[in-house]
Amino acid sequence: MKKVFNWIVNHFPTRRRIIQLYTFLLYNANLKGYINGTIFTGNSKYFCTPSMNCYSCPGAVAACPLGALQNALTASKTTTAYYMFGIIALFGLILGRTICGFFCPVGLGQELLYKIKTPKIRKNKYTRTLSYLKYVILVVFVIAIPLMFSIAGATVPGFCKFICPAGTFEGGLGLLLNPANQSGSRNLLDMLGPIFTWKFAVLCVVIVASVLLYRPFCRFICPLGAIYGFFNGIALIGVKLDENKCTDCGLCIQHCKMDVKHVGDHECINCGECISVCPAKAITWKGSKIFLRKNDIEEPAGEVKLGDIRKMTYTAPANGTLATATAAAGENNVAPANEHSNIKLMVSEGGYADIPPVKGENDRSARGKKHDRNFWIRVGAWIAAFAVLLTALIYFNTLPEPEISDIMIGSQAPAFSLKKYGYNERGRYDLLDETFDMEDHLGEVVVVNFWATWCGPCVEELPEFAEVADEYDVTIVAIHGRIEVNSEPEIWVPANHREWLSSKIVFLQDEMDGSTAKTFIAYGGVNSYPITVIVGKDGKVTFTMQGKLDKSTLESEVQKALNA
Amino acid sequence: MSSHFLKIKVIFCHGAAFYRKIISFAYICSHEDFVIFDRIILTFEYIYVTIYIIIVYQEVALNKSEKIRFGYGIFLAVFTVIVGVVFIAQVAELYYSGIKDGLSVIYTTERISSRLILPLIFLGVWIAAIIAGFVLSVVFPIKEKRAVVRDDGKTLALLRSKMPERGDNAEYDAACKKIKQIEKARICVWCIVSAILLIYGVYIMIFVFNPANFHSDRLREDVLVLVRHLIALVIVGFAVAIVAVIFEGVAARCETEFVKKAIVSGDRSSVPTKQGPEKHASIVVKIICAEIAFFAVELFMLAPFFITWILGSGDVTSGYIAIVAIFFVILIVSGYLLYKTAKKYVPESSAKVIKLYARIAVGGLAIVFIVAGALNGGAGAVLTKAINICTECIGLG
Repeated sequence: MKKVFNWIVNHFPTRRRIIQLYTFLLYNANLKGYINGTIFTGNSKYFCTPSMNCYSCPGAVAACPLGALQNALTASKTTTAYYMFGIIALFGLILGRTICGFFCPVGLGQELLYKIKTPKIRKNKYTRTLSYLKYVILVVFVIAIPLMFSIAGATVPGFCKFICPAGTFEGGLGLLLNPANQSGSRNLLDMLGPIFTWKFAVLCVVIVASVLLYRPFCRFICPLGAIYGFFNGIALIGVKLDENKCTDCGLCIQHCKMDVKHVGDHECINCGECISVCPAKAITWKGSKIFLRKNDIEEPAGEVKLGDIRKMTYTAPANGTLATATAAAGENNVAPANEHSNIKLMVSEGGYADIPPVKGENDRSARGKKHDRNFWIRVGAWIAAFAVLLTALIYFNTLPEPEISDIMIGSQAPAFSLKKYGYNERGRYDLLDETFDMEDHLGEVVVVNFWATWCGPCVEELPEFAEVADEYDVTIVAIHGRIEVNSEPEIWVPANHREWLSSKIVFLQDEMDGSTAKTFIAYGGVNSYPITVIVGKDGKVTFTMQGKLDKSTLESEVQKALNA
Repeated sequence: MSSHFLKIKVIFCHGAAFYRKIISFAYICSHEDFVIFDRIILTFEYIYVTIYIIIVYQEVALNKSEKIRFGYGIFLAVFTVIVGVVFIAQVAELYYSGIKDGLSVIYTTERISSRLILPLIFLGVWIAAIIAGFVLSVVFPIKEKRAVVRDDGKTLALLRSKMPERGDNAEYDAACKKIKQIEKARICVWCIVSAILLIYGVYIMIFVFNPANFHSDRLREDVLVLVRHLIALVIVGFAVAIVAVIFEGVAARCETEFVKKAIVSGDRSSVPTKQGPEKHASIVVKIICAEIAFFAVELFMLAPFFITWILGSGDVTSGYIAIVAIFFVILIVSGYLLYKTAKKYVPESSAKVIKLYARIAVGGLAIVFIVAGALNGGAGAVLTKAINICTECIGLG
């Protein structure tokens, strides 16, 4: 028993590790999503987590800032991405890259993998050079690709689509591995293609690299870390170096596993591990006075530079010699010498002198009161944090969910009556009072497609749907769950696809229940677009598919339904 | 600072600022769906440009500050007349065209919007000039008129004879502390009042200049709604301003008492004089702070603005792309010059001040952006994309 207890004590996670685990649990508090294989659709996704956490993860309760930023940039034609710029700026100002060190689940995963006992690749000048790659990824994949493709009318969040291993692991695998998403109308396995192969390979490379290198994703790839690095200098929380105490020994840089040049630069993730190795105690947390940590002057037999005495007690004369310093110390508020008077003063000549402690600083009762207060603050903080986590877990896992219908082939297609889009009497393309009733089209083959303007595959497949609508005797309806705010229909149909407006596709607006699209749910939609359902002449479902549908498959299924 | 280098920089930055202004103006005139928030943002941009130009000119023409003040006064007076004339002319034109075409079409939103755009631009610049004048008087207070030549030694002896031999240091320190507290309170009150009035002003502007709030066929109801919406804000705003003025008077009287005590107690502090950092940043640092603010506005407000413009245009020509590309190149070069200047001329003691300003600026900008994003649908878009996943984005494709 004692051995077990000793083992636990020796291997107890550090405070930083506990905070990392805590934030991972808090970000992914929707545990029932892992069981049901669905993602959370509540209003907490208005807000972003400070660090990367894919919002397609079944457990995610908030949005990912990087994904949201890219999506906002893809919509730059109509809406400037002020919200995401503001959110990221606020997080950067408050925390800087402390987010990477303390609040990122991806960083946590890499650090745990790094613990595996293998030979390690230490940082060197090559890794330092490679660390600039993340800025290139930021500019190209996060900014340029979404903007350029939005000109062309396509929605391509470059980093999420081509690189992000967090999305593949948390979102892709998180949904794929659930049996509910492996069959029926929610079968995601059919959607796997070259993109999945590429991203899975990227994920494997990152996992293997994490075993050999410390945080390779954070150092070389993560664009969010690149952005927060710009704020490290002005962030309110993080590590700081006291230049007056620093002896330039370089131990902090040597000990640090990130590619830093100095403490607190843009590569520093503010993990705080350099604080304990600094012999001069020159590295502290910003705002450390709030938490009243013991300073080294109070430590018996501590070595203190002349500069500290100057700062703390009196203004030293310019020459700063030992004699004048001790003489000056004797003039101002000095307590009588007692058993605490064993502080030594190190001066440039290499000699040492006893300096009596300053009145009030080493007073034992005053120090004791400060530590008691610090203790209770910590206890209070831990209790509050635990309460928040518990509340989140209970709240998110007891929220009611919309009923998911599993549309099978041969089942009766749900009826709906939805408003159409078209040109009104003023010549503007807008929602009309006219409706499309499914019951009126009994006896016809109807292709029901659920899409969204910001969904790349949806936008890519619609022109092919338009061609099929022209060539075959079939009614194609494209239902949009319009929950964007302030978007004009004439704008959200991309400029190079205006021919859709004059095609035979009937564009409809889904009925919304809060943020839930009712017809989409009724047709088996579980939060991902596009979905295509073909309804035969008898009103029964003949084909259903989640994901992009190519023209040849659509044509063959339509012909089957027409000939049935 | 080398005045030659500074002048070159001023010419470059001034020219670059004019180029950027031309683009902004072209955007205003060409973009039909110019929503109200874009107008507000551009108004703030005018304010920054004006402040920047005035501060930089102050540095270049250090000895000519009085002439600049005089010129500014003339400019403001003339411009106020111009703004008034333009506004009245547009209103008159609106009125007479309504009479001609019939009252039923006098208040169409299209007609009012087209008439008000021109005066709005002038109004924006006029507001910018007013605020610039305020900043001018605060940052560069009016120097005293040339003092009458007098015998300073005789005056000092006279004053010393009225002061006690040994003063009460503790009382002096206490009085100074009180004076500082009162000054801080006054500044806080005015900052709070300014913030409240600014928020109210922005809200009122958003409401009043939103054409959707005015309908052609329900003028009476719309005016009543306008009054109901805004009267409370106006009353509270006035009340807050009046309270601040009263507080200012009371605080000034209290402070005077403590100033008298400080003088009487001998004007000698018990705290030894410290060789501390400069209390006020030099004029160079002030310029750099102004440039940083200007650069931040250009980068974080205009840059996404122009991206939206170029992407929202139906036909993106190579000409548009070239114009915006030149804009960004100028922005980057300006930023580089700014960085080099700051690194070379800002002493370490002022670096902390600049860091504080940077934090305040970034924090304020972040909050403004979040509010702006929430208003223009950005927050809703985040929710949309987060609950309806793009399958290719998680590798399922």
